[in-house]
Amino acid sequence: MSSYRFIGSHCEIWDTKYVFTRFGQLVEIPDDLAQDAIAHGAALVPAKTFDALSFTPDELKKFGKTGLHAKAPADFLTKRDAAWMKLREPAIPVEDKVQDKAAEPVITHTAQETK
Amino acid sequence: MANFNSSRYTRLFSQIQTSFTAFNNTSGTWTNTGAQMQRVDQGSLSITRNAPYSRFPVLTGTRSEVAGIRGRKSASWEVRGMPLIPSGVAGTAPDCDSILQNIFGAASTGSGQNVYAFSDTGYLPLSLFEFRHGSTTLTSRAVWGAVVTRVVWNFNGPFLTQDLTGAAGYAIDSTGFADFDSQAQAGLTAFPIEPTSPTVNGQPIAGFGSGYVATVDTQNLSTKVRVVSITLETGLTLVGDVYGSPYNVAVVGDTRRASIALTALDDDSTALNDIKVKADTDNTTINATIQAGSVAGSTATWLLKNIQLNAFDMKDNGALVDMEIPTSYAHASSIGATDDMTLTFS
Repeated sequence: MSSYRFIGSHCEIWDTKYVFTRFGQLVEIPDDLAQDAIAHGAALVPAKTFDALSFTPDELKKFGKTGLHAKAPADFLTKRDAAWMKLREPAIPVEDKVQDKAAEPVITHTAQETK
Repeated sequence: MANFNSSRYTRLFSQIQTSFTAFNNTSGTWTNTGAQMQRVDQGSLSITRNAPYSRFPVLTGTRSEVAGIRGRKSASWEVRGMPLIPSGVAGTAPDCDSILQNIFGAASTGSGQNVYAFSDTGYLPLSLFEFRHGSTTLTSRAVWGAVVTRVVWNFNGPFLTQDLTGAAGYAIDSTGFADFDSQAQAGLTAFPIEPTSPTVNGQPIAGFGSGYVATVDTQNLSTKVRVVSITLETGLTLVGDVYGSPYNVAVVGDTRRASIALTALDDDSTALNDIKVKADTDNTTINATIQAGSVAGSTATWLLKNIQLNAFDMKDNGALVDMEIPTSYAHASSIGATDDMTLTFS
């Protein structure tokens, strides 16, 4: 189990509880499931990688819905584009084990919650 | 007691094949790497096999005929109104990437965007898998050697959609798998097993909206256009008449043709008059850009070049008058170019 951040608009791993709906959403997910989802286009980056980009909690709150990014300031968009670039790096190391995660509370959105 | 099937049980996967006549496999077991779940509507998918019997009308002394033998085999398929769903991340290909690669003949390129452009050398056949989710007894189907022969992108509806029409090598099913010959089984020794926990990315986008672009000959028609569609005849053609096989054995490329058709609210604006003049003037070419979506990561843009606008028509439509540009074809910029159309996700 590792910590990832979702940086897309919407992603579902069917037949599991994993539904990602917010940019910057923190999620704990089994490594094999995460790697398979990433191989199928899921916009997941290791939480440490994402956190290094220094998004503020306020930014993530304001612009969690990607539809609102058109109104986001340039500074945020620069960081967002940098996050998207991380998806295109050859291999995303699984380095953010849950026990190492930051003190920030984990917010996960599950299928059940969405319904 | 038999279990009734339901069209709701379907899960459709697509995958690019490395060989036209074989499902991707390892020692006969399907390799599902790269197989992507496709979101399609109920009742929108059809797979049709064409495996007619050749009649054997020899004279027997009676008017009744004796049984014939099976002739050549092929398949066709189509998906109507499939939502075209961007990934939600600029630079990440949409879930239907394999289908688009098949259409364009190459993977997308670009940094921070995915640009699909024509290739004259790439032939990337598809496998399609129609699984009955969670059931090992209901009949699932698998199609090999599939190509898109025609795609229509439809705008200004509730969703941005595409209609796909295609041909294929053949379609096999799980129930009679063991009874198919080895060429039909296409490298498999067992029917594929449905992938678990498929991932789907991005949200469907509306076929209309704020920030959507319809620019024809640099004229902004976005608030005048009521109906617009882009059609691509891919020219992908299957070869199915060789001596050593009753099936299609290869895909070759014939002429491709991209076209646009649109209907706009008629008025006397400079923008519309420009289009009318271009349609009236012989041998004039123009470019058109149709962009659906306005949010980064969820935007798709078609660029058609060197369109020869066909003569426009005008028709009453209730209280309004429609100005219709009938199907008008795009063309390459020069001899040797293949830039008639591109599709960009950004």
